Amino acid sequence: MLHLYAVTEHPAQLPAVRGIDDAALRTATSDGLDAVVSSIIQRDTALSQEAILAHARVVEEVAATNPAVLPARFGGAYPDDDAVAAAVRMRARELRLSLEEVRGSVEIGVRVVRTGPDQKVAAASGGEYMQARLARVREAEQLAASLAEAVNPVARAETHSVLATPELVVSAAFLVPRDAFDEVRAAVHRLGASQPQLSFLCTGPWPAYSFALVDKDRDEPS
Amino acid sequence: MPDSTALQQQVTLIELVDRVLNKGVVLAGDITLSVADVDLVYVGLRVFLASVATLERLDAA
Repeated sequence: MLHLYAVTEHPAQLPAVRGIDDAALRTATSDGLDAVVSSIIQRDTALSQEAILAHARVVEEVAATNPAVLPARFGGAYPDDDAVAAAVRMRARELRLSLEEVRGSVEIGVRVVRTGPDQKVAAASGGEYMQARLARVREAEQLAASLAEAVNPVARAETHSVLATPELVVSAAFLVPRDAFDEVRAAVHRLGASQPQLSFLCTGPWPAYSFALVDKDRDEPS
Repeated sequence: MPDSTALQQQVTLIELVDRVLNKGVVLAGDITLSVADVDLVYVGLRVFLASVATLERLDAA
């Protein structure tokens, strides 16, 4: 079986790193696109931390050595090169459009975590609980909008989710030029300074995982 | 007491796993992971995230 790490333009520059289980990287070419793959022993790649980190390392190195790279979600497995090429060919047009979107860009993650004391939702009824919950979602969406506005001068795209857990108020990702990390972090910290009950954490730069969804109906609004 | 670097590292690991498992290109219905597998990873991560918030609170105190 072959494990898929990323899709990029042909000819891909393969980095010197090795893949899952120390396997050598290679490419399967189709329609001017290269899929970066390595052999894996079994179909169900064990979902170990080592395998996840190996996948992430390969994606990062491929993204560092090629101008436009779409990271693959962990778990893409194919019987042989022909099967990979066929899967790429089926989506070639969308993959090319998506590659243009992420060209020369990196992704920056921003997590806004509630660190101050949480106001208890004292709800006497289901209706009151729903009202309180809605108010929180609205508040979180406003925060996400403020965050997007703060990063807007450099962002090429944005995606976010709110209240994935009660503490995780906003989880956002921004697609920005490779050299813009410090600028984004400064903008986020300026916003964070006005919100002492919240903690703003920037991560990255990442390969463009959150902007490599070629499906028409994306996971989240962008 | 965790310093901000340790916190940053924990959050970075969560963000990394989240990206690798939930984002990125999916080609023709090729993902072989079962929902149960992914859920198992996430059980660990939720505990992790809860502890990040708790640690931060301690740190600020």
